Amino acid sequence: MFIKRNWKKLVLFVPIVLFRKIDVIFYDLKIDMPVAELFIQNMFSGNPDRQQTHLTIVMFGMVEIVLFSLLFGMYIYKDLFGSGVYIIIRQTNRTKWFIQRCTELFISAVLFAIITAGMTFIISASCSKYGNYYTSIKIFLLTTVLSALFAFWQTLTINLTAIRFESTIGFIANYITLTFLSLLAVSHEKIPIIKNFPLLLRLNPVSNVTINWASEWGETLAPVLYFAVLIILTIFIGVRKINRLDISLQNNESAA
Amino acid sequence: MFSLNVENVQKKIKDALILDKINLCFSSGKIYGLMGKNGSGKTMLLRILAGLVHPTSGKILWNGTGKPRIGLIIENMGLYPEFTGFENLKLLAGINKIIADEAIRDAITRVGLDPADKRTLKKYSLGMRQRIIIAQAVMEHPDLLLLDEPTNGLDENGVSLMREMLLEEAKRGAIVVIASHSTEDIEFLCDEKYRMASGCLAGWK
Repeated sequence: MFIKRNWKKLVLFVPIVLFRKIDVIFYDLKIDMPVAELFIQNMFSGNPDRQQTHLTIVMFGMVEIVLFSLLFGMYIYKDLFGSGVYIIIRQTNRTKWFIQRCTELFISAVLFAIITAGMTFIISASCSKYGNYYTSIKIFLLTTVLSALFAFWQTLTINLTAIRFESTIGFIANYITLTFLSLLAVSHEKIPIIKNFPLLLRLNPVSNVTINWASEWGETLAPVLYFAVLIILTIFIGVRKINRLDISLQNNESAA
Repeated sequence: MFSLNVENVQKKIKDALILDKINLCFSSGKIYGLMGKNGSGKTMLLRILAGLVHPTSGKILWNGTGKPRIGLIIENMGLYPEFTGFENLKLLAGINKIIADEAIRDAITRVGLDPADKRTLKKYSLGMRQRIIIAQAVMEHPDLLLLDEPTNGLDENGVSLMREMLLEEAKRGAIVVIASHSTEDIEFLCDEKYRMASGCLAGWK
């Protein structure tokens, strides 16, 4: 049922990725760049260290994630004003329902990340002159995990903001915040307070996806941990909200 | 035998008083009717009985074993349009797993639809959608059947089919509560009738 509900939205990313990488696909010559380097460049349109210098580059690199959040931003919210009501009354408690919806959203985010990063990796591998796949696969895996976690967290946040206020506010507030965080991430060297306190940059979700923190494998897992904590906190807030919510009282803008 | 008691239930949204000191007792095997104009509070009372909305004060007490099984129809609340009728009901039945596929097919047949229909709900007419919603409400033999405007979109045949079903459900022992604009539905079906106005219960005239 879950696949039937969501496969069209996920398959949509195949032509989107192909279209965005069309210049790389039709580039005649093999590129003199290792696969990992080329993959990161194709994924985020920046340099291999993921040290972005321009906001436009970061935003361009996040087009797929933003599109994912647009497609799934009402996944949980919509259920509260439509078919979900008939599911909720059959559950022993609302927390169980919410956790199930979060799990489905997370699976969608993982599939999304596998499709987008996987296709970008295949395109990069076929265009590179080199064949060192070990490092490349490590970077591919980390990028996939981070993209999935970020996409899930961002989309969950939109859903919860929409439940608290309404869907338009959910989307607008989230994209304004995303733009602001991206701006902070790319101009951190120009903002004294962030330059002097690098921890502030590390607390920024956008910089956890787009900037490479360390060369050590163990330390590169820090952003994964960061997102895990962020997601647990968001789910905790969501559970509290859902249990206190008067369901089906708000307008039926999304009723199926 | 079981019953549901509504004790001093009040609901406020911001400063507006939607329900005021509602006291009711629902017994198994009976059909109850709530009638009133738009905004009188009847739908809100149904949502509180279903556990979808929390009362500001007061209590809902269930005198029966365990948690009541609830069958619900809420106006304007559809099922998944991208699934067939059977798939929608199977998804819902999968939550508590108390009925098998055969019972789902029976429920669909009971409302006059074909369980083998491969069309998705978005291709159903309004009346067919309402019938499938009625089927989801009754398929698990609920203890408490809460219906908000159940005859919406139904043709004459559908209305009489639904009335028959509700009488059967009450005979089985369920508590049936109907909120409707239709005096005819309420008069024809209900053992006890209440008129609601400005969030309060008034007598039936």
